[in-house]
Amino acid sequence: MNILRKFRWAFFVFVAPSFLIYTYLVIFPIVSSMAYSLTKWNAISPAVFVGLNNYEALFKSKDFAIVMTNTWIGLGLALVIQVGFGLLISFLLYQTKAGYRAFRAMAFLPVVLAPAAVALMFVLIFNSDIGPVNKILESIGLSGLKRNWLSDKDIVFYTVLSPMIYQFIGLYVIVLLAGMQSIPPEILESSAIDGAGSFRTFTMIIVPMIWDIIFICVTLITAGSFKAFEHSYLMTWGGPGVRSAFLGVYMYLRTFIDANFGLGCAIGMVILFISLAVTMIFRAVVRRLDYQS
Amino acid sequence: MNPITAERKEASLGSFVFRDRIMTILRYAVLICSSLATIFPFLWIVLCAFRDNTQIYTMPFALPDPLILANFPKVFKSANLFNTLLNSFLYASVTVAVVIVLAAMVAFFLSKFLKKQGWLFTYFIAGILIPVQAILIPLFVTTRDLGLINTMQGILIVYIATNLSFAIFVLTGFMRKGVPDEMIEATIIDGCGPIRCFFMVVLPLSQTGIATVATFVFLGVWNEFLFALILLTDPAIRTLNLSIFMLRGQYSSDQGLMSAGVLVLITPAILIYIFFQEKVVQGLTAGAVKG
Repeated sequence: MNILRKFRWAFFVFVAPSFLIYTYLVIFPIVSSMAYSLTKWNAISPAVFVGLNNYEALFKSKDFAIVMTNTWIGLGLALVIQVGFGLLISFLLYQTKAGYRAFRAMAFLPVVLAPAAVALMFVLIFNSDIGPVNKILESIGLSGLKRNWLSDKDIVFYTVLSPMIYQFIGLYVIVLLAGMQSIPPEILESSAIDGAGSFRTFTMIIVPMIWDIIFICVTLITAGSFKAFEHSYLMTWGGPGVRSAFLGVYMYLRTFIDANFGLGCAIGMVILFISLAVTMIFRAVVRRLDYQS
Repeated sequence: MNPITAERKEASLGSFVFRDRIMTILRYAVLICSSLATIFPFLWIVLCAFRDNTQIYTMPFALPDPLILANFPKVFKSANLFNTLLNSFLYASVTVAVVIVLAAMVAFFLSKFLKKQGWLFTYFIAGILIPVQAILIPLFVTTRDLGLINTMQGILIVYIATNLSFAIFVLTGFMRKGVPDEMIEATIIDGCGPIRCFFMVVLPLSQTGIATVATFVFLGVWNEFLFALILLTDPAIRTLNLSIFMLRGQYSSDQGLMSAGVLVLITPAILIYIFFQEKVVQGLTAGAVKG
């Protein structure tokens, strides 16, 4: 607004405090992370420049390979299950009047909780002695399927993954539902008059019309799975070994348990790079979809 | 109308109605099952929080008999819960208050002083895309070197800095539409300076946007774990989240105690959700769709 532009000092009063705090504590640390990732450093003695050694060590390490495999499998399962259930439940909610608010409220409930709290709930549920999972298996005569969910190295990864997937389905239900509700009702009415059943309406009209929203969900799930920390760390400390660790946990373990701050920064940079790359790809895709329609 | 076609039409209509009814029943069946699955962990926690270990061991799915309340005083004592509960409230409320004032000032500038959003907006918003792991280690080192590690000021400044981007993003968008230029012009012409104008006109008109940001930031700080884990080791200033996690190490065999702890941890978040449902949903989905 022109009338405000004469107050030249306004920037210093309104913006400068936030600008300084934000630059010093959010932007500047990225640059120093990048610099530290090129050093060998324990955060006490001075950092020694080692070039790309940390990255080389990282890509050669067996643990990193396990952690990356975990991350990719986790991402794949999260995409299929969260988007799948998200679409199913939101489509059912979309058609529902009676009880709509109650169902919606329950679906979203886990999203508002601390991931730490949900992780602890699942620790109790998967307890091998008295947790309900084993008890239910026992009572329906499937004792053979009972497991030490939190320590068996072959399944512990899936145990840790389950609360991560469970907790955020509701977020995607609500986001996708909002997308569906923004479709003009005339389009759906005309398809109903044409005699399309709800399955056809769903696949032929609704899904194509909310592609951009589905892509938003895909990006969120992807970015989330590369910085995932709480569930894995609280349930199993990433173990045994790094069997149930994701990148975020791996970084914490190397940095604060092994005091290898240089390597930790390198892992942080990998997380940053992948997250930004995914966001860029997502934007490009959405822009292309926009041009087409 | 030809009676034969009329009859056929009725029959097919009947089958449609029948199919519709089956679909409705199926739809509700799926919705009810998924809702039950969603709240099952909550029910289990509530059930366990009021029982002792013997009851849970012998009759895992039975209702509490007798009702055990001892878990709550025990968990408050063993985890220093009351103290950390206050800490969490303090961190969340101070962060909300400071972030809202700082972000509203920036949003006022971005939405009303500039012709276009420009690079400054992009610069502030970029923070939303940055994963915490990319800044975690330098933040740890910086707070340590400033002597702020293990202090309330240290964790507060980190929470404030990391929540600014989202707040600025939401409030700038809100003020651009929700605060009419004419009202600001009128107050300036009446002789008010921009600072008075900010407090008398802009802030009151932005209440809805501020409420969305406040619920989001409050829940975000209340639920935060990683910064608390690395910046706070002194038990006296820990967050509730962190002290419940400590239970996991020390008392993991006492199911009743752990459940009571989890219940204490989630109750405030659930209350906020119940009372400000629309705000919470708006805040969290706005945070989601920011990309």
